[in-house]
Amino acid sequence: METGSPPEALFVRIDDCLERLLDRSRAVCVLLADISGQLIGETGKDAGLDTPALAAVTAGNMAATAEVARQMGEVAPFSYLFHEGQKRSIYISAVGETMLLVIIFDELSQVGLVRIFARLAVNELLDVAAELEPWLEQASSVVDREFGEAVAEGLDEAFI
Amino acid sequence: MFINWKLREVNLKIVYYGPALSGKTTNIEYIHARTNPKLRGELISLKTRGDRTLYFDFMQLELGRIKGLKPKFNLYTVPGQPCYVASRRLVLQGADSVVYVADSQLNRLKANIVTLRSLDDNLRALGLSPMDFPLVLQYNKRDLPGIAPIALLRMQLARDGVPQFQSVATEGVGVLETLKAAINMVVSRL
Repeated sequence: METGSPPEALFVRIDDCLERLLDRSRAVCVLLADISGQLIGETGKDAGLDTPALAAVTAGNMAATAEVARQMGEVAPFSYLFHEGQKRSIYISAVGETMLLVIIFDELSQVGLVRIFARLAVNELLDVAAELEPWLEQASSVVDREFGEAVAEGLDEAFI
Repeated sequence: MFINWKLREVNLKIVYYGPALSGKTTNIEYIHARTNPKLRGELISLKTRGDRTLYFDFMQLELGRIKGLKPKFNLYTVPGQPCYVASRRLVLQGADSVVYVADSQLNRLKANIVTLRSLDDNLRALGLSPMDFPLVLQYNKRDLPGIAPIALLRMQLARDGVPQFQSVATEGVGVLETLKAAINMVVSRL
């Protein structure tokens, strides 16, 4: 890997944490996204989920309810959201102020179980988030003018 | 720009902004329809019963790997109705460029000006400088009667150096050109 990218060990820690959470909570899928909805990591069964779209929409959900909290006179946004579906449910938890942890689970699990292990995972991820944060918006040395020109050329091939 | 180091992806966020019913969602729908299905995600629309955008529309478009990195473009629209100020600001967070979709109809001129001012305010609130921020202007609905002359729209809305396009989004005219200009504005700064 070129210089200027975050240490691989950080991603190993994120993967380990997400997989442990998936396993312990018996969830279908676990996602880690930044607060604006960009996917950072994911693990789980291939459940036919459009995970980038899920990350974008859950980030929107979290942001909207932060405004609800403010309107209610709360001093801080809600720390987690839970939506119960007929087949699958979703639990979304803030990881500090910069990331979101999303857990999708079905009848093989229960919200209480998910909540307990999500809390443990959030504590673990907070440390990683602090180390990863400076890298998130930093352009790598490979994202340069040449890269930009190749992107512009590649765009023409994307449309039919 | 958001780099997912683990998946080796470079994510760019492009936000379609403009007054209510100016055609932001129509732009995204056309782009989605024209994008190679292998390179696009689902088009997500959070709409009210009246088919108005409630929160945002979202689609993702990706290209093949370049220098080992996969470029991905996340396209968002914001709701145009004035009551959704908070969600407009939230969607703008982390944007790399903005496409401002103006409604060319003469009776929407004031709404275009007011909404453009709100864009500047929201960018400032996010700590960004409206004068330096990558912006592309699209004058939409050029096929309708009662439209303002381009010179008038330019005078009221355009800043120096801002790329401008005329469009009929319902027919796809000018839509892809606008998107490419918005992406080029970001990548040319690299």
